[in-house]
Amino acid sequence: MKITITVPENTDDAYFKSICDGFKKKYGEDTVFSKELSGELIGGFKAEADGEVYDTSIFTKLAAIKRLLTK
Amino acid sequence: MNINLPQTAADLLLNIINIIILFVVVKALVYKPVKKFLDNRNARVTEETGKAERMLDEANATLSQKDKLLNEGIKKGEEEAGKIIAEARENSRNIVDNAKKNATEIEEKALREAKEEKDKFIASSRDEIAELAVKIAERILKRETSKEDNEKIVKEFFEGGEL
Repeated sequence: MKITITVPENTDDAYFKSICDGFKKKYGEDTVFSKELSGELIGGFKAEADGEVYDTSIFTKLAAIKRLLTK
Repeated sequence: MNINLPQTAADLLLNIINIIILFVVVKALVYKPVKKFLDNRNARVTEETGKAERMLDEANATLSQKDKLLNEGIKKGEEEAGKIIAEARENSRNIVDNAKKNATEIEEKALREAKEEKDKFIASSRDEIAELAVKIAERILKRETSKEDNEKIVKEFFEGGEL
């Protein structure tokens, strides 16, 4: 299983590791992780695993709020 | 006085004969022509009078007809004038009604368009304000989001059952 994790630019390796540890509990210890940095996310992370996308980023939450306000 | 009766009788008879002769002569020479003249004159007068009366009748008839035609003409003219006036009144009423209707439609259209513009402006302003608010929030969050905030997000994700 390969998971691509996108984290904010200002986060450290410990943050990335804590995310990987969390995914290992579901997908197993032999899961392979790749890291991508994004200046857009602000906080949280995005992960793509086996076609499934997990998005906890503050950026996405703000976009949802904007859609609600402009409806 | 001596009266000679045979002479007087003869004179009388002669006078009577003279009178008779005079009567006959006058009748033959004077009375008949004069009577004829008078009769002719009367006939002419009668004829002329008749002619004059006929002409007077014709003139009166013509006058009556003229009056009749004149009255008919006046009546017809008054009727036509009445029709024209009524038609003009009706037209002016229609023009006023149409103008009122148009004015009302224009006013309603203007109100409708003003409301649409107002709604558009409000919607556009709301969108702009929302976008501005989100941009401001984004900037603040970029500046204020700490390492602890990120760790909390990760913890809530994995412990919250979203995985």
